[in-house]
Amino acid sequence: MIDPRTHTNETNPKHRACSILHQVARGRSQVYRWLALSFYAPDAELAHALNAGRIVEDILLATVWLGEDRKKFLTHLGKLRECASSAWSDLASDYQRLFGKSSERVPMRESAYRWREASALLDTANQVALALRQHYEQFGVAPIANHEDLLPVELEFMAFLCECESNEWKNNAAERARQLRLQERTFLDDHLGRWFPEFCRRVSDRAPHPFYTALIFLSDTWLNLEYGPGYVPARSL
Amino acid sequence: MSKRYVMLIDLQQCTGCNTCSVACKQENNLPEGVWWTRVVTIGGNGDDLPAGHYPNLRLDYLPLACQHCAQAPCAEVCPATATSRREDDGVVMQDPGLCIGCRSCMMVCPFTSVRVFADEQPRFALLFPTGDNPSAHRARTVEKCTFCAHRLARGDNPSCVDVCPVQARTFGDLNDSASQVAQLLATRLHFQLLTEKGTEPSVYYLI
Amino acid sequence: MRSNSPIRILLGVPHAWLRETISQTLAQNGELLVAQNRHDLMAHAQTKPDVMIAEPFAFGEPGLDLLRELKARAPTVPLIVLLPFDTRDYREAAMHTGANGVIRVEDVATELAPAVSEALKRALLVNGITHQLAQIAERGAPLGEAAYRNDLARLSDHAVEQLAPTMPSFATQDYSPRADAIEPQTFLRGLALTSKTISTAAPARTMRTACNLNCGSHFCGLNVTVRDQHVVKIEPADFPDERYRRICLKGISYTQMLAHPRRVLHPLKRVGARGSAKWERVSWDQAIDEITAQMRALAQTYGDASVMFFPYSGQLGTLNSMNGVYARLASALGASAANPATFGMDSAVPSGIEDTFGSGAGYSANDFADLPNSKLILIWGGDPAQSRMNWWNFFLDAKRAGARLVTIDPRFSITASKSDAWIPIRPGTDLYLALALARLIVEQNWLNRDFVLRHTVAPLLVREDTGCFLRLADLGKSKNEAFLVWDTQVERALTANRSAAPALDGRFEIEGIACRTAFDHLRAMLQPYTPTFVAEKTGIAPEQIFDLAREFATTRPARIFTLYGVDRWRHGATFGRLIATLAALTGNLGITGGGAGVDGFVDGVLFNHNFANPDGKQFHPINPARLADQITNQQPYPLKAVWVAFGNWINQWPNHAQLIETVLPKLDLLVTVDHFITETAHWSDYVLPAAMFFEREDIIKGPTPYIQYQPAIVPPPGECRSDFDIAAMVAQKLGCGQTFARAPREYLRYILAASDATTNTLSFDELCARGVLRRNVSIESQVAHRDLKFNTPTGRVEFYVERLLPSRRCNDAPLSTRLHHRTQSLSRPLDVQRRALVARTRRGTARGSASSGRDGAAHSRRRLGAPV
Repeated sequence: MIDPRTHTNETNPKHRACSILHQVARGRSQVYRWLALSFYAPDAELAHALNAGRIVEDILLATVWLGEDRKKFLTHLGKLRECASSAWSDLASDYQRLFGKSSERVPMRESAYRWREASALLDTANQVALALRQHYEQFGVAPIANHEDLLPVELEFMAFLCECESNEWKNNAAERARQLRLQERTFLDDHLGRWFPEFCRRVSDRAPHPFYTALIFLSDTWLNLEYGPGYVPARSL
Repeated sequence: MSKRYVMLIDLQQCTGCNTCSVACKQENNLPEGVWWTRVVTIGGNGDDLPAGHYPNLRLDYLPLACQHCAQAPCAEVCPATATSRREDDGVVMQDPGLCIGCRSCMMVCPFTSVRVFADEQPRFALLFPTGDNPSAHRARTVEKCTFCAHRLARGDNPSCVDVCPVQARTFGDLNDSASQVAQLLATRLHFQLLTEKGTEPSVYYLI
Repeated sequence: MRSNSPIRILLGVPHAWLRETISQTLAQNGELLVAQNRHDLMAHAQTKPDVMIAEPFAFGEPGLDLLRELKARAPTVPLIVLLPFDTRDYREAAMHTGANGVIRVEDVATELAPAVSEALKRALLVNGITHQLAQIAERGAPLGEAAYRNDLARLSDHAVEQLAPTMPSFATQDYSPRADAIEPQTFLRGLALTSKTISTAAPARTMRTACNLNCGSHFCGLNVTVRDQHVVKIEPADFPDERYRRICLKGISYTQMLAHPRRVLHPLKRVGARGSAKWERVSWDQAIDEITAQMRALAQTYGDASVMFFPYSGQLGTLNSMNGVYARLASALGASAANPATFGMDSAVPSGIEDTFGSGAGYSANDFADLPNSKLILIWGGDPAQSRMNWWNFFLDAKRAGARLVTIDPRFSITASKSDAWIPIRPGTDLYLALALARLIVEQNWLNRDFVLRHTVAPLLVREDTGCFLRLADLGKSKNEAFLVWDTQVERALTANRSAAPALDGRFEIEGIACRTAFDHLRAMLQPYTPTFVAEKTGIAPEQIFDLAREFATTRPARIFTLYGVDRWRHGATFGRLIATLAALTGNLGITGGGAGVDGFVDGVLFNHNFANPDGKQFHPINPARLADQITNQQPYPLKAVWVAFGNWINQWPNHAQLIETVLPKLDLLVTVDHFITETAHWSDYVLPAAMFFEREDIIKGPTPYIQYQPAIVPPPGECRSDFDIAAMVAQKLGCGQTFARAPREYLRYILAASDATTNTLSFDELCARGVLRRNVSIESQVAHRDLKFNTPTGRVEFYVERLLPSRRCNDAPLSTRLHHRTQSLSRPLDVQRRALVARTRRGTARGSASSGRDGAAHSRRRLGAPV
């Protein structure tokens, strides 16, 4: 991977700009993708990616353009890399303890965090899920039933939006790309940004496996960088 | 006819005194650590160090700020329309109120570090705002030189032009062939930064 | 930046005859890449030559298109366009299309070579800038491949480090919600400002004042914007003459200085040992009561003169200056005070100049505004581009008007970088160079014979036995003290003013008294300083010394400009004598564009004798340079209390350690009036908070043809008071309250009315209303020694000074022979922490650190935080 700023052959300044942002958006999509994958229940793909060091490597490569800011999550990436040789069963059992059916579980769904906003308690899950489903469908993707507000799904949707944006930049369709950039921002504003910090805080209280510790620190730093003004990171909640 | 504001900086005059940087800071009430215009030493590895070997030395200064490109890539990519080039006078504006902090503009700008991304909540040396620029400073937004648009609006030159002790800076409308900038460009050797990037900067350096 | 590979010049000239001419002209400049057709031209341009020369209209196609394409191929390479005809249209079209210079074909023989060398110089600059931008990009936010590898390596380090049991904390930054949600009353440091804050604030008002820091007395006019009792903006104020409309970052930084968190706001009394930094806040009444009680007790024991007031040059106003309120107070009390006539600091070179040009002439030199009239300016021992920032423009004007700037400095200063020539000299050997120049001027007969005979001591006869000038009285015929010369027409000694043709050199015997002319002494004294000998000492090649001497002697008018660089060396005074001698030998005196001296002022600060000496009372003057000795030795009388204002005694004067260890313990009372805890305040018994110059009234004489008014713009913060009020309080307690009975404004009105003819006709009220008035001075009146009357015993320029004869028990010599100047005065440094404070003080306020505007920090270079 290379720094997109210095490795583009475009001479037209506008095309050059598009070419740079095409690569940046692709990198961001990549990061969301790995985060999403890591928050799903551990499976062979995750285990393989982790053991081969691909997660760390890919995130590093995909964020070269972040420059100085990348140093903020280097620590967490380092921790993640140490988990490469983690016992597979440990990871799975900890996932069950944290997010599965246990007394200590931390809900991994948006609706579990936003019930205060809902008009009627019982409807919360449905309202959030419905809104999300409609939102996804606007962009031509549909979630698995009952998974609409699941963390990895939302992350995956961000990855999808970034991917779309990346393609628009590639085609020099700046107007559409900018629209998508705004959509990403809106999605962070309306959904992920609202509940993710609290989710992180709760998970870190449960003394999770080093992998999940590193993962939530990494995700929190990343979302903080992505979100821009107004993000309230987990600690201050 | 629309205007095309340009700034000329005479490098033969500039002594690197940084009065422009400080005046900019005062005029725009910039937080600590934030500079919209700076003076780069063209010489050895460090401020005020000359290039070459004693006694064959040379030392120059390059005041550096947003170049207000005519083909501004930053205006092209900003998703929030926070960065835009004003058609009537060519000033590239940056509205921190609209900025969502995505830093796309920083990515595509060929001139490194003319923009500032304030990472933390801005801190100020003083308890009261200085200068006249009413725009706020917020954490995690991008800021840059606006050619002192608030001063242009009332007919004044940008602050850095006004204060330069050696009058190295000249500001004016290039579309007006009688203006001082047009005259100077017609008669003085000059160059622009990174012309190969094709952004057509509005800052000319007289040499 | 650029290796020594040969210079490559692209020559796109289809005409064979023209090409031939140019090839001959430029053969020595470098390798020529010749292009006769379009294809070759573009191909060569692609290889990025160092400079391109093209005759675009001779290629048989649209010339401007060709230019445009050429420039696109090599945008950073300077392009010189040759035009067969020179109309304004074509010239402008060519320049707009990217030409960097236009030359008519017929001028090629004369103009091309200089243009090419100029263009190459510029090319070097552009290359430097390109290189620098690349470096900035490298250091800046986005990372390259190398940085990526570094990060990978860092990850491994983390893997080891991060095994520590504690979890890394979440983001440590305290992210507040958006700033505009915060109530204005909780608005504190660290919170963002919103547009609301500014628009709802009190309406701003703008007032005119003047900066009075001692930065070489530019006294920039300041337009000060005040909002809510805060100074929120400082901008340059208009002058009738645009050239004086200036400001620099030191003046602008006052927005921050005024409201600086470390500013002293209350009277402080020391509670620990001196220098222990333990302070107790006391009321003004208590502070003044205790200080005056001690002063009274000391005066009873040791005499009134044992109390000394030490106002210095940090502020150069009228009430607030060496001659201001504290001088008046000291006079009224019969106390001692710093002598404004013997300045004590920055006075070595001026004292040498004074020996040569006569008393009172030490700081006198042609005005800065006269610089553009010079043809040659030797900048010697100073860096005016940095330390005289707001006068530097006059040097640039001179350069534009065709003057050559030659800088003599061991350091490649910013002045040197902007000069036409830089002569690097081995530190501390300036006197050798000056002697070599004088020797060459004498030996090569470059001197202005007429001037030397009429206005210098050169023809005066010097007795071989006593070394004194030969006087008529020496011949025993009369009591007339007139000086004698040898007249070559009548072949006998005549008084100098009667002789039409005095001999310049030679040995004579007049009535049995063997004599030589003073010039003969000078010639003999200069004899050893051959260019070869001096080259060894100074590290400057003999030929270069010769060229410099010739240039200086044969360019008229030429000026020697110095500041306080050589002044700081032992026998700095000799330098003053030598540059004065050089100016006299070449006749560059009393003319516009000429002269030799420090800075560029003919007259000084506004000063009224009656104000400083009320009712004819006069304080006991003390030369500040001898202050430490007098305190230690108690000779000629003891000094027991020192009151420091407008200065930073312990920081600014030599030998800190001696001052603190030997001098301070001898003092019973040390009071400092300042804005910050400076080095001197740190060691004081009482620190009194003073108003800054935005907070009290004064008038400022300057810049040169102007006089300016400083109104009180904002009230002093905390318990700060103006120096006038402080002096009045002391006077009140010590029983001479009537000395300060009137308002400061009334004293200012009086001083203005009683000033000299250039100023006393001005109306004080008009001055207050307009802020700036022009004094009755012309640029001609700002030429030093324009009447060629010298206030020396002989009335001539004295390079031979009788007063300094060994028989007069003077530690110098009549000729400038004291060259043992290899050491600077030795100061033992203080501990590191104190030095760091000093360093911070000197770096100014740009970073938000404390700095006293009242000490000489204005002299020092300002620097900003390093770029991102």
